[in-house]
Amino acid sequence: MAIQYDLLVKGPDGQDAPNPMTPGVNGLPLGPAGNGAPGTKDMFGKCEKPAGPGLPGNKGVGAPPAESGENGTDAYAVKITCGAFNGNPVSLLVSGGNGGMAGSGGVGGNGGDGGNAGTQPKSCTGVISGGMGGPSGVGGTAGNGGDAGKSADVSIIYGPQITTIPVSAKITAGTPRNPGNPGDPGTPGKGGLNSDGTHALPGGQAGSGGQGNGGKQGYTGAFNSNMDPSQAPTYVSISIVPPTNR
Amino acid sequence: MPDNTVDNSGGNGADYSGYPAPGYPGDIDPTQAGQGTAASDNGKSCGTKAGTGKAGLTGNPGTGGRSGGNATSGNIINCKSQVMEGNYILTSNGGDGGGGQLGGIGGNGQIGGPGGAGSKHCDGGAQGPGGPGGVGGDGGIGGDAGNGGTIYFTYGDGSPTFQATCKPGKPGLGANGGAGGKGGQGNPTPGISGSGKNPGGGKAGIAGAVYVNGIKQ
Repeated sequence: MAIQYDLLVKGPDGQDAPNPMTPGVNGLPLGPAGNGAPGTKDMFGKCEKPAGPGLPGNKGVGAPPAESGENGTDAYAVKITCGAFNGNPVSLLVSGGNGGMAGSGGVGGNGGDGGNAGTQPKSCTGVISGGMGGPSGVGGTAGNGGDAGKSADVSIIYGPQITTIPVSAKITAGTPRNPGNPGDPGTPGKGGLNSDGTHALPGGQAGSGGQGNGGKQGYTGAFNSNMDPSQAPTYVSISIVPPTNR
Repeated sequence: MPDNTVDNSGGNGADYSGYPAPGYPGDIDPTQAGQGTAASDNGKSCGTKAGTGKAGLTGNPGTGGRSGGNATSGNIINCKSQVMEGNYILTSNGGDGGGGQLGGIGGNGQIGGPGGAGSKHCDGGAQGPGGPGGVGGDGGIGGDAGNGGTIYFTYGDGSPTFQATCKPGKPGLGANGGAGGKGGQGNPTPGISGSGKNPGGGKAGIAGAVYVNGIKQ
């Protein structure tokens, strides 16, 4: 159950990154133009020209990097002054904003299949290679999680007739966010058919997307309370001062 | 929230101990090394033998695991009054360092190149040696623990009671390195490469201190 506070001073949360997980682009299919030219034989059936090799498949394109979550905003400055305070201590939460959620990388593009070797006449010796499959595209780099917003220092001054500290306080930074997930690589293209009916090598497997960084933790504020005999008997002031250069 | 409570403990660092290891770093492109030189005949006999295929390249190293985030420290709590009454719960603990992420697996070595083509009188060349697999990625180092804060409680008269806590956080643990990659197929095919290292945990935090009327408790 969430705790209810009398006063809540919290920096706004960072915006979450859009998360379209945009995939990479697949390698274009070679089509018939990727197949090797057929071999030829002369009128006596003798090998005239061996078949041509298949072309290698096209590479898949990597997915674009994901966006990062925004940083949480620091707790802001507030001063509350009460000339005559009476009652239970005021409960106060001073918190930085939470970091925004990161986007995740999309899947890399698939590699295109290699072309087939041309048809080889029986009289032609040697195995003609099909084209190697196209390498897959790398996955998208994950976005960074947003940093936690910083908390602020709290200073309480109260009059001489108050004998218990008039404020209970929770002072905390926001929550830093985790990075998104890196995108998976695409699928490599298949190797084309060699002239002996076997397959050429498939394309290389690309790597996963780069890793994002988690958001950084933020500053936790100090708490100072001080009875000031020069103030009115039941005077209370609460000052919330954001950190500078921390 | 109970009355008269102050809590300004530090936050925990980002924890990657439960995260999966980084993904595969990708094959060497192209996946196979170059072909050896073709043989040629010298009349009715073999003139120049076919060359051995080129040696495969070493696979890509595994991706290093992310380091655990550093925690933040508890801050000062300073309460001062001529007359103090009531019960106080004062907490200024350090946050825990985050755990590191496992290192990623190393990439496969490149396949040894095909042997050079034979000729009528020469045999084809031998396949080249496969490339060694890439070394596994190092695990992520653990994040540093936060320090406990310092608590001052100063009063003249009255009979207040309080519980004060200012413990340091726990340092994050380092993660194990990833497994080495497989050797590329070839002649010969190398074995599995070495794993990545565990770089160890983060730094320990320091306990804070509690002072009542200037005397360390």
